Amino acid sequence: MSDPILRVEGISKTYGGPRPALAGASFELAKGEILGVVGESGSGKTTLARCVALLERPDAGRVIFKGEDLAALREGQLRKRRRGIQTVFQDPYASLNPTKTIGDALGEVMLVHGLAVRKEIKKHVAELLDQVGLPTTAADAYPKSFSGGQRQRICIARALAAQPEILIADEPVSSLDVSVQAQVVNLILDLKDRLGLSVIFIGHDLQLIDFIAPRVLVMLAGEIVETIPADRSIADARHEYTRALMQAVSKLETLAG
Amino acid sequence: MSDVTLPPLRNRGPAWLYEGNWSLRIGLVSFLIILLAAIFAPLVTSYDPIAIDLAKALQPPSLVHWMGTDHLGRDVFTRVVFAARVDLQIGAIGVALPLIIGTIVGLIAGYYGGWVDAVIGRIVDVIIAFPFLVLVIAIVAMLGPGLINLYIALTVVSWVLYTRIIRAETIALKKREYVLAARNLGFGHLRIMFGHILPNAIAPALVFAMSDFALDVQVGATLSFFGLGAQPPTPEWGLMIAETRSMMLTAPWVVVGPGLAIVVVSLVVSLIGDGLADKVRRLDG
Amino acid sequence: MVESPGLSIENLSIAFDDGRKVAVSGVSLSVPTGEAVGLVGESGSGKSLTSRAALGLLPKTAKASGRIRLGDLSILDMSPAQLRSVRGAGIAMIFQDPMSSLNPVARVGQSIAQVILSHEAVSADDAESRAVTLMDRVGIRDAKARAGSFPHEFSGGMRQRIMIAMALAAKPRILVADEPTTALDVIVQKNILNLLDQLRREEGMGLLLVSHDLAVVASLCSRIAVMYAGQIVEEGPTKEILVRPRMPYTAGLLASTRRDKSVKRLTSIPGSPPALGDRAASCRFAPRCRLAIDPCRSAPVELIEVGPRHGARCIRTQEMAHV
Repeated sequence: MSDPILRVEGISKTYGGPRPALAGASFELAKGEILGVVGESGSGKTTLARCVALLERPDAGRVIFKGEDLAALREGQLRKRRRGIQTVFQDPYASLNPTKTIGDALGEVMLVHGLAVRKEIKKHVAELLDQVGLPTTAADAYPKSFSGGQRQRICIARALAAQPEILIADEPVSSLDVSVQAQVVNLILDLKDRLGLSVIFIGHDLQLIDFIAPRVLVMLAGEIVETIPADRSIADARHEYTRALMQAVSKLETLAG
Repeated sequence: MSDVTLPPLRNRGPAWLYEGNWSLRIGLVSFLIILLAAIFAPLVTSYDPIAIDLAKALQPPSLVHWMGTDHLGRDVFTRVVFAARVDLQIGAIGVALPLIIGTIVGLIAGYYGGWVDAVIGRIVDVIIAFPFLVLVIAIVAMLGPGLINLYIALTVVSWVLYTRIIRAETIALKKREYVLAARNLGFGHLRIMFGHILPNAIAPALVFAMSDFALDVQVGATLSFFGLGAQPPTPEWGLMIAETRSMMLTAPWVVVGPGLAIVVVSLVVSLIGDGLADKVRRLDG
Repeated sequence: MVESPGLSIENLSIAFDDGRKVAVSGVSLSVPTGEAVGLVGESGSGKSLTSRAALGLLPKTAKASGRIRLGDLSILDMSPAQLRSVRGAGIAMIFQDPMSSLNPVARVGQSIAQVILSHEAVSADDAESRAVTLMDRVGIRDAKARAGSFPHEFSGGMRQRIMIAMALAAKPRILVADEPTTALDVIVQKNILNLLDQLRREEGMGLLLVSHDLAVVASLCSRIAVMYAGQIVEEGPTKEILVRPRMPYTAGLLASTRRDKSVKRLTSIPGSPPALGDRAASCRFAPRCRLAIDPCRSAPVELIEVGPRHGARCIRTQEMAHV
C-alpha cells in the first residue's frame, strides 16, 4: 500500500454506558482508496465515523491525517483542517438546514474557507450541482422541495464544496428508496474516480459494502473483528460473525432458484 | 421506510379551520388596525386626551362621546386610543428586550453545555422561582415608578423564559445532522449558533412572545393601576381604571372602555400566537 | 367467485384533499387464509395506505372507494365500533416501529392479556397465562418472567416479537405486517421473518407482508404485488416475478439489487417516483422507463394478463421478454 492519507491508531470512545462504543479501532486509508465498514446498529460504526471526522473527540488514540494527529489539536486549530475530511450522513432529511436555500448552503462553505470569491459563488454552486446530477435551478430552492435521493445529492455537493480529500459516507443510502439507492452509490463511485477522493463507506448491508469497497472492515460491539483484504472475497470471511451476517441476507438470486 | 405521503393520523378538526389559518389572519389584521389607530390617534379622534373640561364630566356614552367622558370631562374613547400607544409600547419593549437577551443566553447555554449551562441554568431557576408579578412589582418599587423602570423590571424577570425555550431547542438541534455537518465543514461557533441553530430554534420563542405580549400589557396596566407604571395624566388603560374606579358603580363606562381594550388586545395577540403555533406545528409535521 | 375466507381488496382508491390527491388508485389484491402475499413498493407508492385501509385505519382526511372484504364483512362500510371488534380477531397488524406501538408504561404480559380480554370472555388469570404461552410461542425465552417487564427492557427484535404475540392474541385470520423488519438488524430480521413464516403455516393465517425490500418479501411470499405511484404495476407468483418480470419497473428493482462486481456500478433506475400531485394519466413509470414509446405516454395502461395468474401494467411486455 502506498503512503496512507489517513492512519487511525487505537481510537476509543465511551459515552458513559458500561461498554465502550468504540474500543481501540485502528486502520489505514490509502489515497484514492474506497474502504468499506460494515456493522449492525450498536457496532460502533457511526461512532467511528464521527471520531475520524473529529465530530466526537476520541477518548484515546490518534487520527493521523496527512501526517498530523487531529485528535491532539485544539478546537481552534482543528477548525481550519476540518474541511479535509467531510461526512455524508444517513438521514438526508435532517442533514440540510431547512432555513437555507441550497445555493446559500453550498456558497457558505466556499466563502467561509475562502475557496471562491463572492462574485463567482453562483458559478461554483452551479458546477457543484451539475457534478452531483442536479439542475442548476436547485440553487434557489429550499431543502423541503427535494426528495430523499435529491437531498443526499445536495449533501454530497455540500461536502464537495469544501474540496475534501476524504469523504466519509455514513450509511448514505440506508434511508433511501431501493431504486434511488443505486443512483447515489454510483454517484459516490463516480466522484471518487473523477476527483481522486479517498472514501470510507459505512453501511449495514454486507453485500452492498462488498460490492462498493475492495477492502472491508467488519465491526461488532465497538471493535473491528475482521478486515477482508481486497484480494479476498467475503465468501471466504473467517470470523463467524461475518459468516452469520452473510447467511442472514436473503439473496434474490437464490430465491429465484 | 414508511410512505412519506401518509398524512399524520392525528385529527386536526375540519380542514377549513386550519388550512387558511384564520386565527393568524384575523389576529394580524386586527393588530394592524389597533396599531394604526394608536399611531394616527389624532386623526381617529378630534378630542384632546389630556385637557380637562369639568363641565363635561361623567357624561354617559352618546354619539358625541362614544364611550362617555371621565370625571375630568375627557373623552374616554380618545384616551383609550391614545393609551394604546403606551400599552402597545409596554408590550413591544417588554417582549423585545427579554426575547433578544433570553435568546442569546439560551443559545449559549444550550450550545456550549457543561459549566456554562450549569451556571446559566441556576440563575434561570432562581428567577423563575419567584412569582412573576411579585418580582416585577418588587423591582419597580425598588427602582421607583415609571415606564423605563417597568421595562427594566419586565426584562429582568422574563428573559429567563426565553432562555429556557431556546436552550431546550438548541440542545435538540445541536444533535441534528445539519449542525454536525456545519461543524464538520469547519464553521465557527457564532456562525453555527446564529446561522444554523437560531433560525430553526426561534419559532416556539416567537409563539411564546405573543402570549408574553398580552401578559406584559396586563402587567403594565396592573402596575399603572397601583401607581408604579405610567403616571397621570398620561393615558394608560390600567391607570385610567385606577383613576376612575371609585365611580365604577355610578358611571361604569369610565372603566368599560379601558377594560375592553385590555381584553381585545390580549385576545388579538393570542390569536396571532395561536396561528403561529399552528404554522410551526405544520412545519414540523 | 367463491367467497374466500381471507382478505380481498377490490378496486380500492384512496384520495386526499377532496379527491385532488389520489394516493392509491384501483388496487385489487386478495390474501387467502394460509397464504403469504407480498406488497412491494417504494415510499409514496401507496402500499402502507393500502394495508392500513384493510384494517379500516385510514386517516380521517382520506376518502376511500372500492371494496375491502374480510370473509363476508365489508370493511369500508363498517362503523368504528364494528371495526374494533373485527380488528384483532379478524385481521391484525404489526408495524415497523414496535416501540411506538407498545404502551411504554404497561408490562408486556398485561398488554397482550388486554387484547385477549377485549375479544374473549375469559378470566384475567386465564388471559395472563395465555399471554405467557403466546410469548413463548413467538420465541421469547423465559416468558413467564419476561411478561412482567416493560417494553423498554427489550431489544428491538424482542419488541417486534411481543407485537407479533399481541397481534396473534385474538387469533386473527389475516395478519398484516407493514415493514416488520425494516428497523431491525439483518440477523434479527431473518429470525423474525422465519417466525412469521412458521406462524402462518401453523396457524393457517393469511399474511400480507408489506415492504420496500423485494428480497424480504420474496423470501416469505408465494405471490407478490408490486406497487408504483399508487397502482399495482405487476402481480404474480413470486418465482415468475423474480425470473421473468414483465414490467420494466419490477425488472429495474430487481436489477438494482444485483451486485455484479464485474460491472463496477450498480444498475439504477433513473429519476425518482412522481409526487402525489403530478401523476400522469398514462403509464406512471413511462418518464423513467427505457422501453417507453409514445402510446405509453398518451393513454392509461391497464393491468394485462401476461401468464397464469400473472398480470403486468405494461404494453411493452413482449419487449420485456427479450431484455
